Amino acid sequence: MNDINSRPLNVTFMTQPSEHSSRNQVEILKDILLRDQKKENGALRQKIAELSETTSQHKKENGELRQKIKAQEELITKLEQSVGLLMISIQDHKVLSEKIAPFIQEVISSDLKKNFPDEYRVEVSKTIEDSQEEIVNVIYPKLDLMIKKFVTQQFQKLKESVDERVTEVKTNMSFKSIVKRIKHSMMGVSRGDEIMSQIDKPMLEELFIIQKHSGILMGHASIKENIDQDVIAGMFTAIRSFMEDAISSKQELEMIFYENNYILLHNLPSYYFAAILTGSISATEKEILIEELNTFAEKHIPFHLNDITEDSFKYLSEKAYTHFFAGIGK
Amino acid sequence: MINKKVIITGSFGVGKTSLFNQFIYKRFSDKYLTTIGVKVNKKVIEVEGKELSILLWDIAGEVSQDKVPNTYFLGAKGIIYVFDLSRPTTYQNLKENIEYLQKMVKNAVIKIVGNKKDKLSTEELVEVNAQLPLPLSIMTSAKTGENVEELFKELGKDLLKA
Repeated sequence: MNDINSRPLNVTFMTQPSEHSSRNQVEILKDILLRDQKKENGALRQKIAELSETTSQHKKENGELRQKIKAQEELITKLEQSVGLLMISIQDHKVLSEKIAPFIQEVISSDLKKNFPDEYRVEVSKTIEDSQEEIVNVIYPKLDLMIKKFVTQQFQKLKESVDERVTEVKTNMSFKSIVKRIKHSMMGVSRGDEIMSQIDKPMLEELFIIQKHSGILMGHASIKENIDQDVIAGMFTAIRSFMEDAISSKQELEMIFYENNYILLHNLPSYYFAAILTGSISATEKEILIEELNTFAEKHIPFHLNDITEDSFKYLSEKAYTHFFAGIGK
Repeated sequence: MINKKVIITGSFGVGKTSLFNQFIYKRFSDKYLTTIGVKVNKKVIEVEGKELSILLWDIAGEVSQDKVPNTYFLGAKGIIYVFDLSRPTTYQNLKENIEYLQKMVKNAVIKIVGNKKDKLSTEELVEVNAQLPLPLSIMTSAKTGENVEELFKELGKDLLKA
C-alpha cells in the first residue's frame, strides 16, 4: 500500500490539454483498445479473400464437371442409339447375315484355312468316315425318289413318243412288221406298249377293296405288310368324296398320282378298288388291269355284300392275294 | 369284328379333334384337316364281349349345308355332335344342326356331347344343361380325358343295337 501511494502521479493529465493533443490521445487510446479487433478483422478479410478464391475455383471446376457430364450424357445417348441399331441388326437375320458374312468369309478364307488345326481336320474326316452309312441313309431315300420320279417321267414321255413314232411309220413297215403289228393289235397291245413294257413294267404293289361311302375296308392284298390299311382306305374315300364334291360332277375320281406311285380307283356301284402301282402304266395296261378287277369282282364279291365281317374280309383278302399276287411272294 | 363309320362334327373350336386324339392314338398329321377338311382314323373297342372297329371321321369346321361335303356323311352309322359348354354360340343352333344331320344320315346313332366340362362349375353345368333344346348324351373334357372312353363305349353299345 505504501509503495503505491509513494509513486509520483502523472500530472500531465491533470493540466488543461490542447485540442490537438486530445485528439492524438483519443487516437492512441483507440489504437490501444482496437488493436486486437483490427488484427482479427485483417485475418477475417484474408479468410474471406481466400474463401472467395476457393469458391471461384470450385465454380470453375463445377463448370468443367458439368461439361464432362454433358459430354458423357451425349456419349451414352450415342451408345444407346448404336445398341438400338445393333439390336435391329441382330433381330433381322438378313441384315445380320449381310453384316457378318464378309467377316466370316474373311476368317474362313484367311485364318481358318491357314490355321485349321490338324487334329480337327483328322476328327472331322474320321466322323464323316464313321457316319457314311448314316449320311447315305439320310440322302439316299430323297435321291432315290428323285431319280425314280425322273426316270418314270422320262419313260412316260418316251412311251408317248414311241407311240407317236409307230403311228407315223405305219405305212413304211415291212410285211413282217405289219404281221407282227396286226398280231399285237389283235391282242390289244400297241407297239409302243410292247417296247416299253419290256423296260418299265408297271407293278401292282397293293390292292384295297373299299366300301364306297363308309370307306370301310372290305379286303386287302399286298406284297408287303401294311398296318394302316383301314385308315388308308378311309382317307382314300375322304379324298375321293372331297374331289367329287369339289368339282360338283357325277364323274368319279379314277386316278391319284403320288410321287412315284399311281393309285388307280376303279368304281363299282357299292364299292371300289384302289390299286397302288409303280412304274409306268399305259392306257392299254390300265384297261387290262380294270378288266382283271372286274373279273375278280364277278368271281369273288357277292353283289349283296353290305355287312363286312371278319370272315368276309379274310375271304376277299385271300382271294385277292391269290388272284393278283400269287407267285410274287410276300 | 364289326366295322362302323362314325363322324365327329360340331362348330369350330369345340374340341372335336382333341376328343378324337384322346380316343385314338394320333398317327396322322392334322394337315389333312386343313387340306381336305377331314381326318380319318380307326380304333377297335370291345363292347359286350364283341369287337367293334370304329372308323372315325373328324370333320373340320361348321355343320352346315354348304360348308362340308355331303358325301362325308354318307355311310355313317354314328354321329358325335360336339359343342363347347363354355360357349353358348356353339349350342344355340343345336336343334337345327341335329335335324340337318338326321336328314343327311338317316337312322344313325347320334350322340350330343358337351365338351370342355372342366371349364365350368357344377352349378354352371346344371344351368347350361337346362338351356339346351335337346337332351345331352354326355359331358366330356378332352383336356382331362373325363368321360371320353365312356362316350365311345355308349356309342358302341348303341351301334350294336342299331
